[in-house]
Amino acid sequence: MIETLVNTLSPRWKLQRRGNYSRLRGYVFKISAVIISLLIARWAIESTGESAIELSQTVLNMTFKTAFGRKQFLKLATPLIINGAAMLLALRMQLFNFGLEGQLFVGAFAATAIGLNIDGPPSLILILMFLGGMAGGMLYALIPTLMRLKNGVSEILTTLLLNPLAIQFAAFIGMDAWRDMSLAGATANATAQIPYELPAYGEINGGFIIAVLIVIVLWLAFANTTWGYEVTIVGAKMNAARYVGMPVVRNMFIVMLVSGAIAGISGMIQLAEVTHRYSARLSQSYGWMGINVAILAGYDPLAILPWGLFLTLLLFAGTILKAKGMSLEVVIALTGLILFLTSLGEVLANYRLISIAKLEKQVRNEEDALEEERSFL
Amino acid sequence: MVTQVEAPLVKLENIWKSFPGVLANKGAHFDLQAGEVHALLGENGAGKTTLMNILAGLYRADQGGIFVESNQVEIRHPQDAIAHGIGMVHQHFRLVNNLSVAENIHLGWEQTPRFTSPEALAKRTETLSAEMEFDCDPYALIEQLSVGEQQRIEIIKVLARGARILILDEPTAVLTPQEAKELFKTLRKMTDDGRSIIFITHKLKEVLDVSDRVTVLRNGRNIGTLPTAICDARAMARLMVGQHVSLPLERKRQKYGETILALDNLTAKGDHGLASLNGFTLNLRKGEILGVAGVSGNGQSELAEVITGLRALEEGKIFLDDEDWTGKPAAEIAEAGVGHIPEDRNEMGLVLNLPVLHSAIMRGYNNEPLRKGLWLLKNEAAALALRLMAEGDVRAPNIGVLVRGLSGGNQQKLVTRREIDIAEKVLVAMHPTRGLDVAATEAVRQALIEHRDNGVGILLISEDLDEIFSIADRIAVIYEGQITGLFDAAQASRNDVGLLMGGSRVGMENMR
Repeated sequence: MIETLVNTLSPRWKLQRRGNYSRLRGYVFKISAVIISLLIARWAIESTGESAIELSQTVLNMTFKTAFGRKQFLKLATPLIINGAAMLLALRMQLFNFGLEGQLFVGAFAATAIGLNIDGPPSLILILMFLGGMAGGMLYALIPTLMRLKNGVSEILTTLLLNPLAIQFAAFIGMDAWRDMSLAGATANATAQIPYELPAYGEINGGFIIAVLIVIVLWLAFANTTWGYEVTIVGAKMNAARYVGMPVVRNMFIVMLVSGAIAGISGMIQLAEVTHRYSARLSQSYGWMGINVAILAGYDPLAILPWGLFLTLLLFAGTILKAKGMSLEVVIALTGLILFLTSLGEVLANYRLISIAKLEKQVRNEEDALEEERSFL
Repeated sequence: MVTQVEAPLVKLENIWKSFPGVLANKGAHFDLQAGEVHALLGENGAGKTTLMNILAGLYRADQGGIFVESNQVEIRHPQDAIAHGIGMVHQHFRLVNNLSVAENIHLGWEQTPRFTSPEALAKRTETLSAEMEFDCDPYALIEQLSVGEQQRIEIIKVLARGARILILDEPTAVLTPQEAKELFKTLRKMTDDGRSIIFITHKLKEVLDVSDRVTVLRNGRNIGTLPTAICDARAMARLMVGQHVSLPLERKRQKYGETILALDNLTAKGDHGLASLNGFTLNLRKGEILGVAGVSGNGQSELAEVITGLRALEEGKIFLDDEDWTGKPAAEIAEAGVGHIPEDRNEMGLVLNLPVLHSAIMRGYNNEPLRKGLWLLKNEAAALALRLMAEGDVRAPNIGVLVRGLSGGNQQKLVTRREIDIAEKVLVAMHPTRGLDVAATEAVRQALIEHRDNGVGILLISEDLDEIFSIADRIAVIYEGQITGLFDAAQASRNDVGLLMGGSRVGMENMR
């Protein structure tokens, strides 16, 4: 389609598909797309009379100049990175786990149940909560996984539809079943406080360390294990995987459940580090933003870290803009623009522009070589 | 060069056509005289079909002119082409399988009456086919017809719409030799009736058999146009390929070993739940190439899949080296020394969007020395990929380039070498040279022969009789999921094999 477009726009240039793939070229195209998006955002902001440069300086100062800002920043980055990892894992196998948000809530619920009901040394309880979070996310991912593998029901739909169910259940727990009656005002409709908190190391919260570890494990798995290789092949060409006898179904099962478990971990961390109470307000669509992070990272696990941090910065900018009386939607629109342009850049990175004149020259050279042979006729 | 006596009926001048990444036609030209059969000869990818699709209105040329009876015309659509009397029978038929012959002929035709009945359409069809002296049953469903009959319906369809110039794209590719002979007779009759025919092919013998003149295309441009009478096969091959063509492969008489793969009464269903193997029995010996000939869709795909563990058997047993291997999973069968060059390298054999490395290690990744516990050892993986590329003469700049960027020949050489590498006992090769140019075809066949000489049994499943006759030691014919004939290659005649492929059971004197 793009080829047709270019060929119609200008008869003097042609788009040619490249045979090789260069990682560097991919990065250049993506980063250019981000820069173009930011320039468009700057133009949009300035058309309202604000100075975009000043605003971004404010954002950067508020985020990185104070210890509080830096801590908040990493805490916000944590769920984005973890859910980015969960989504990337599934995407590598062409599985679309759009249920991260729901799995996050169920994981957090399991952790809440453990934290509220079991007494013991904090480190032990935290480990139990962590395992509970994993198990919760995993179990919630099990439903769409079984439906896909047993009956061929598309996981896109089932994972998507299970999200509101989990969120409404969280609302029920917070507002009714386990409601802490002593709360009032904006913080009401939540459970009692969970008395356990993940340790922090200086300004770095424990959850962020877990997030980085998850990314590293994922990277090692894809770069260096036979399992990662199998997942890559199944995702890229299912028939080829079947043909060499790879366990396709087993790997799909594992990938979906691990993806759910990772989302569940982010729910547990959110609970044990940020909200400390379970409610429908536990996650601000972090599961959804994980999808954006994974798409921006492409198929490269290590790229989750920079893209996760970048989207976190945008989110931060959003809250600051809001405080300035601007709408949060600006940031959402900007995220959408970045996703759109980077996807476009990814496609374009596979092509090269070549002028008709150059093509004709190539052809003429071949033609000269042929003349000799023709004279033989 | 031929001197033009009269103005050509159709003339294509300086045709350029590009697709993303490919220039299919680079200033090609072509002319057709009234009443001739004109062969358009070239290798796969030479631009023959593209050029004719431009004439038939499926593509538009980037540059160049089309002249019909010396008037320049614009052909933007197949209907424009037919208005000028140009019709095309494509390699893949454009028929609706579950509609009747009469309905297919009248589908999308201006002259089909607005309100009609099956009987009226049948009647019209009968009149039409009687005029053209074709036999056909207007009520028969397309799916009930043989491929040769389907092709005849396609021809009736095009002629009914008033075509005086008929373009046939590789019409014999799907036919048995007998059906092809029938077709050639039909073509002669049509030219006698004053029609002209363009015959796209890459088979030299057909050019000599049927055409009056031949135009050779190579790499998108003309090499020359000659009267067929002054041509011989060798000269044409040289024009087509642009290099000296090597002699037919030397067939070294082998001493056959004992049976390595025994297929006993195999019964299996196809993708649509219909029986496709019905009691298939065949023994493959060490050190032989056993060619399985047949018209496509007679159970060949299913045969390859049950042997390699990709499809479940309903009944029957498979013995590898006298051990019962029935129902074993694909990975174990490969492990035991059975390689499989699959039907479609793009769909199964390779992963186009990943680097060459990934496709090269598809067989080896799970074993020593590539695998160590959970880990996939990168250096060993790269070493395996490089070795396969070197042994198979796969030309790629490095193991990091995408498979997509390789030529079809290099892709197939990669698959072939990878499978040969694991095929210690048996190699199932399905259409191993389909769509390849001459050089790559030779390379793949040579590799198969060398591997046979190592004492491996090779089951060569192919629709291409030339291929089977040039490298197989024994020839089996598959028809409706059964073996209907088994010959020693030295004693087999193309005629007998062809008859059996078409479902006939006569002419089996030479059978063993």
